[in-house]
Amino acid sequence: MKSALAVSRAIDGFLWVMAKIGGWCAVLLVLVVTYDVFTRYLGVPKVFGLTSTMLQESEYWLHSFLIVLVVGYAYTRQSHVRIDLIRENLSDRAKYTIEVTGILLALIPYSFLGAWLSWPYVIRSYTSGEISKSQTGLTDLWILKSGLIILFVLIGLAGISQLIKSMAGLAGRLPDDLKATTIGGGH
Amino acid sequence: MGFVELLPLLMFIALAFLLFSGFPVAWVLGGVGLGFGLIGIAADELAFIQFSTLPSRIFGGVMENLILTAIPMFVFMGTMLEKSGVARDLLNCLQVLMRRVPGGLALSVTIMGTILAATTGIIGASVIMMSLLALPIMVERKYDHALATGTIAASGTLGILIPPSIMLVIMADLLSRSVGNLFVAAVFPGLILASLYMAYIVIRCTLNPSLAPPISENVGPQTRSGVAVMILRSFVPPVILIGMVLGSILGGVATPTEAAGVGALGAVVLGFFNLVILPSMGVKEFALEASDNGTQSASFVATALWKKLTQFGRTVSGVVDRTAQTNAMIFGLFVGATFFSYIFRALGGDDLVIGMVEAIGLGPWGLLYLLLGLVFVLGFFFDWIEITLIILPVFAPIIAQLDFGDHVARIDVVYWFAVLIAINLQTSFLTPPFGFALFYLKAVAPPQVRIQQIYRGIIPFVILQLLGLILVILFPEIALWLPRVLLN
Repeated sequence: MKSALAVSRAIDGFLWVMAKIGGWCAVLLVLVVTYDVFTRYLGVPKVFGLTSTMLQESEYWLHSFLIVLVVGYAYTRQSHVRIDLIRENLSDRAKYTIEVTGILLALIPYSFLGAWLSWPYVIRSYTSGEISKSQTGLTDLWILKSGLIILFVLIGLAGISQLIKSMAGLAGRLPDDLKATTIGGGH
Repeated sequence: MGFVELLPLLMFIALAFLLFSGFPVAWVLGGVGLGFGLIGIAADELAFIQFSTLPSRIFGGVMENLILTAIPMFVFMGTMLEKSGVARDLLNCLQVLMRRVPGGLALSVTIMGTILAATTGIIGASVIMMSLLALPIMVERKYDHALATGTIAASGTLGILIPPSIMLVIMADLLSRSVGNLFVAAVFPGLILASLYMAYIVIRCTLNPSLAPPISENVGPQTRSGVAVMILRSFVPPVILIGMVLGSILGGVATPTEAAGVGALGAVVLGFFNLVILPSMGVKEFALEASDNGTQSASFVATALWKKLTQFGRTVSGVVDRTAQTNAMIFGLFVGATFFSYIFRALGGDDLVIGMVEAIGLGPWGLLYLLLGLVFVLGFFFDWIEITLIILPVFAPIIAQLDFGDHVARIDVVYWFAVLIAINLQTSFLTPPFGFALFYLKAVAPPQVRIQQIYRGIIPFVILQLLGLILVILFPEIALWLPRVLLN
């Protein structure tokens, strides 16, 4: 169990790094939008021959990476919504059981299917050299599309980590400091 | 009807049932979608090849979507204003300005709820923020607990209606309408509700002054110039920021995405002023601590500049982290709901819903009330995110077909409907015993505030909400006039 928990901690650490990068996408997003707005309204030319179309496309690129890099992490921080009406009155044991069942029956199949379906979708984009529909837009659309694979893989990793922690909880061997991030509580 | 035709219905029942397990909604949506997809394949209703268009739906609906980009930036703006103390200073300032008005503190809370409606857009988060900021002070000042909690819950939930509300961004996206138009449509209904709250507070507190004892005169700055500094420092900056963000959208100068980006950067600048520049210049922060005894309890300690800078850095990094997680929560659900709705459609769900609606034979008005009623009940259990993402796509095709004759022009029906749903949802969140804004409030309220008082205090506001809802139903122009004038 100890080594399994070490795996879980390693995954959580990795997800944290991914989420940090995702967070920086939010900062960049704000900067790109303001840069685009100010240069356009003030009539100042943009650097490096960038166009508004490119900037606006990079805005949803950044937003996409802000999403895909953080969704998995958010699960390990208990930031995803739950309908807690019944669950909050259950014992810890029942909560761990719900978590284990849900991860095995819903989360892991869902992330696996998502990643598996996204793979050919990304490959097709890569081999066809797909670019933006707009003439002046960004190229290499496959990079953006591969965000889908990242999304589902990170959800799967988060699921594995939470699964390990919940099973440790069922076995009564979950360290106290991990309890809040496994089944919530303390809020 | 056979088993296969009923699959979409069973899918909803399974979803409702499994959601109450308390497992994260995003994964339940994905799991139920997948499970029923497999059942559909086993029943020969679906071909596996149909699954393969799912990535392109998620890509087109979530990733390659410039409108939704506004959401994290509005969340960023609201969180920044909260964490950098701008929101708290605004509330303190309003209190001092309104100390001679009956129920001044309660009015301040309503005005702040209106101005900072965006705070985060998540009901739980904004109610908790307002409760933490205002409730301890109100309790300390011997405000009637029922009045205090009612005001906070109602004002804290106004944010889903008053632009820039992220719920309206998502609604507009799902209904394929313009976000700017929907924002403009929600302005008057939101302001009417806020005015109704304020009128109620003033009347109640004039009739019975003991409900809201005034703040002592010697709290806050005493001189005219002191008051001017306070207004310049705490009131003007956030009001200008929000005014610019909304003004540029309402005036059609900027898209919501552009306004959100500039607003987010503006919030960082305000935060920088509040945490670094003003303290360094020795501008005193005044605080209305519950314990102050006539003198200002402002505790201004000169700290080195670098210390303030690191504090600012920590604040920004905390805001980024919070924003990223809130955004991930919303879009995790978005992806799960895309998955779920796709399978629901592929199994013939749309036809089933339309068939059922036609079989009931309600006509447009009956259908409108049915949908409002349904959303009202769902609001007892689910936040607006789940409701808009799961329910709205199912009914969107029906809504677009509704014909109210001369009452509402065909092209405006969707906007009117969205505003009605928004008011209705807010009412639902406030209605005892389930309204979950009340639970959030109770969770962070001082222990002497009892749930019965919260229930008693919210009822007048629920009545005001219903009044507002009826007004917008009877007079659609409340919502539709401004967009026509401003945006043509």
